[in-house]
Amino acid sequence: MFFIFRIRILEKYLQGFYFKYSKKSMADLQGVKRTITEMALVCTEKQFADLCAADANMLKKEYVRLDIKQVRGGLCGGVAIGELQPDSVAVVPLDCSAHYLSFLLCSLPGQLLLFGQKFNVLAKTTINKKIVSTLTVFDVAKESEEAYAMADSLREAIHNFHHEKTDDLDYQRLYGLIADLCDVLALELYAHPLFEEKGIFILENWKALLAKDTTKDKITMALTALTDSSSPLRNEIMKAHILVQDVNDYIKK
Amino acid sequence: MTIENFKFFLEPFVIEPKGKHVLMYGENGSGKSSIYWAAYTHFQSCLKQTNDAGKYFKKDHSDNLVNLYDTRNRRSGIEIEFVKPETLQTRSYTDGSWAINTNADDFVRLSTFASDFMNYKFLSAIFDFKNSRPVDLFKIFEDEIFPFIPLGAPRYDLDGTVTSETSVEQWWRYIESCYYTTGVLNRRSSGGVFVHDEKWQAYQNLIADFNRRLQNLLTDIANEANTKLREQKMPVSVKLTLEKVQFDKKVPFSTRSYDGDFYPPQIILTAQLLDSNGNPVSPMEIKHPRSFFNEAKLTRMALALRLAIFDRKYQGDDCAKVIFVDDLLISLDMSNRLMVVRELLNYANRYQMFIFTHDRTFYDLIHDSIAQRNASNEWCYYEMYAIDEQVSVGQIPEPWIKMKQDYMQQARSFFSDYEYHASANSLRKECEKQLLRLFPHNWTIFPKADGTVSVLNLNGLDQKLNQFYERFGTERIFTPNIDQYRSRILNPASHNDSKAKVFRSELILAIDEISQFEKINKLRLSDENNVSTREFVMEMNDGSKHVIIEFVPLEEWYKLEYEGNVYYEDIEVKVSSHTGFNPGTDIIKVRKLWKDVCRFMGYTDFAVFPPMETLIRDKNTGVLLRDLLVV
Repeated sequence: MFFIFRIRILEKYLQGFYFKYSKKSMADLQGVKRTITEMALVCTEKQFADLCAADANMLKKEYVRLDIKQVRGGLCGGVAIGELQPDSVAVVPLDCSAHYLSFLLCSLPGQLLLFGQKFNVLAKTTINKKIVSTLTVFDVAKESEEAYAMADSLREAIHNFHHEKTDDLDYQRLYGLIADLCDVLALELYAHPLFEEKGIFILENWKALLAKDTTKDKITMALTALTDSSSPLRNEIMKAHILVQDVNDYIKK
Repeated sequence: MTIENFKFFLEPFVIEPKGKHVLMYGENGSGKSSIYWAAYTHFQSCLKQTNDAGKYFKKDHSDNLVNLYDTRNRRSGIEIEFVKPETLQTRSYTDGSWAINTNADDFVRLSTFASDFMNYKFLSAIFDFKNSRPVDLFKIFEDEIFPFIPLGAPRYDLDGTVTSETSVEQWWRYIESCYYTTGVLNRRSSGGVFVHDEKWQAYQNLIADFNRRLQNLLTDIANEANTKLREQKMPVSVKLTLEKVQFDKKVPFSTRSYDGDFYPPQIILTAQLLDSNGNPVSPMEIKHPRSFFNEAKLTRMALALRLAIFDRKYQGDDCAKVIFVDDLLISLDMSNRLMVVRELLNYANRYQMFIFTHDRTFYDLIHDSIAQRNASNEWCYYEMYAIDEQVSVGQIPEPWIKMKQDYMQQARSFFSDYEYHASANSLRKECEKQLLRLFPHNWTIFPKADGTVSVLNLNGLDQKLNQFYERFGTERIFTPNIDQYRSRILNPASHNDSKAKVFRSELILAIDEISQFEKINKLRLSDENNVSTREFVMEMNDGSKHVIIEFVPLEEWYKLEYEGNVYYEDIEVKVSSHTGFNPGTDIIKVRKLWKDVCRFMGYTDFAVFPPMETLIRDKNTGVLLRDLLVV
């Protein structure tokens, strides 16, 4: 009932909006490919403001904020709560977590898709709702979604430190490690057949690490695994860097 | 590995270590470095396009490495066969004029990124700088390291297309080529000034990405190196700072002018002194380590960095992991070499090692270090020489390789050839070698009348053998008949006594008995640094009596392992405190102390005394003697 109620609210503000949600097989590790609008609302600043005006609870919910003016090398967005910052596009999740969407959008494949399968070569490139709305994402099992979301939340946490310590080489390095993890996880998601063929299992090792000790500080645990030479996760990521060479065909709209 | 018509080898040359490590002495010009470069060429071929990989085997190519004496246009190439020890599954890969299949699957590629080739250049690079100049390691990284390390993301073109190139070298080559290749970046027609268009911006972004990723990599390496230095208790930390690649910098004091130049990067090595807590003594970095540190410390820092680079490599189990070392230490003195050898040999349990050297002393040093680790059986030893063209069959310089046998192997080999005297002679040398290994050092020397010290021969060593076994509390003598063999076989053979008969059957028994020494593993529990300092506790408690005795060793402490049994050395210790039982003296043998305590606790039958190794523990860590890690 709540779901149908939400649709009615949204239809008032978004014309021509339609989505279909279908269950997928739990055995499908890669998940079902969807356009982002099937899993989230993509809003301009005004549309987001209208959404908040219609539903006060919107201001308490997490969503993904994307910078309209991309800066090369920086995080293109992140999870936010409350009012949308100026020069932003909001991606409001419908049935998945904001961090999962952020993971998809801010990782390497997401960036490639945002910019026509090219790396963002310009210092500042404007993106808009129309471009974001055409992106392809994956609707994955909840367990996987949580693992991806955790990677993104760790990336964001370290980015917040890094942001203030741009001269600190150690923080840059730590941020680089987590960002690399997110990128490779996302690559595996999009290019799953290629990774499987090469015998590379990033998500599996990431999940195993998260399940190891639920009481431990996740950032420390992740960074230890990403720096320890004997760590399976670290070696799988290295293997991906060594062997995975041509992912373009897999990352398509 | 088979090398054919490549560098020094005209005829097919095969080296087959069968999974063992290789230590090779090769005189200059004998071809040992050709083996190193053959392996390097083979491994690296998987990172190149076929044409580029094949150029070394084409005689008409300017970069060819075909043997100079090839007049018949023979085929040229290198084949390597890899064997998985658990299943004996084999894989063969060829890099040659007739075929290149190192790219047929992912195995060689993974092996390339998991393996390493080390020579003297990296270590000596630290020393090659004038005292007043900063230590810039970029060139050495570019030549030796970058081809084998992924940068962490695939490179992209200036138009944003993702490529399949991932190594640091590939990124760097592309960045250089963009600047130096005409037409890639747009210039104004007037004077060559670069147009600040999309391509210019894309190039700046690519450079920024490269700088950021490379700095992260260098920070990673430095952190790993510092971990190693801490483990060695070196009071110094190293830092690698990237002086970034820059392009088209703004002209100083100008708002709109750019210089159009390309500034290659630098990798600057600096250091900091640390206090006993591992904190920097001063916030200032030592910018000229060459001026500040002696050769030993510089060597340790350089080695820590080089091994840190190696430790950051891929360590999966689905490929070969090999270290090739070619004359790593030619610039170092003996004490530094020993330190480097110890560090290197620590990798032998995880990697297959090929160590090449032209320095006989260094060869012997490694050989002895391996023997001290009781690992001789895991190595093949080779000697390589060049046969001069005047005496060689084909009238061209040829390699000659000999597999070096240890004395026991020689003894068996001579025996098989019915050379009994020679066999007995080798057996004597083997016996001497083993006793020198097993005995405490001060047992093996004696002072001469002229004040010098000499090493005991077999006769002198043999007299102490029973004392040696007693010292380790073994009632059973592993080699009960050595004295007989010494007097009947080993001595006559070494004195070239042709009248003394060496009987085959007796020699067989002597070979069998002396080969038992090889099986005795001597492991150190506590070294010379811990004498009089490392505290142990012997404790027994049966509810009614509770004895706690603290002591320190007054000697190095060893244990022997033989056929699944462990025997602990009966060393002298100094009692520092006692509760519940008074040993009666400060200085006492540890086994006597143990027996006295057991009797005090009420044990009468020696056979049921609780084992000493379960009653003694390291006071600091609480680890039982039985479980102490050897040093």
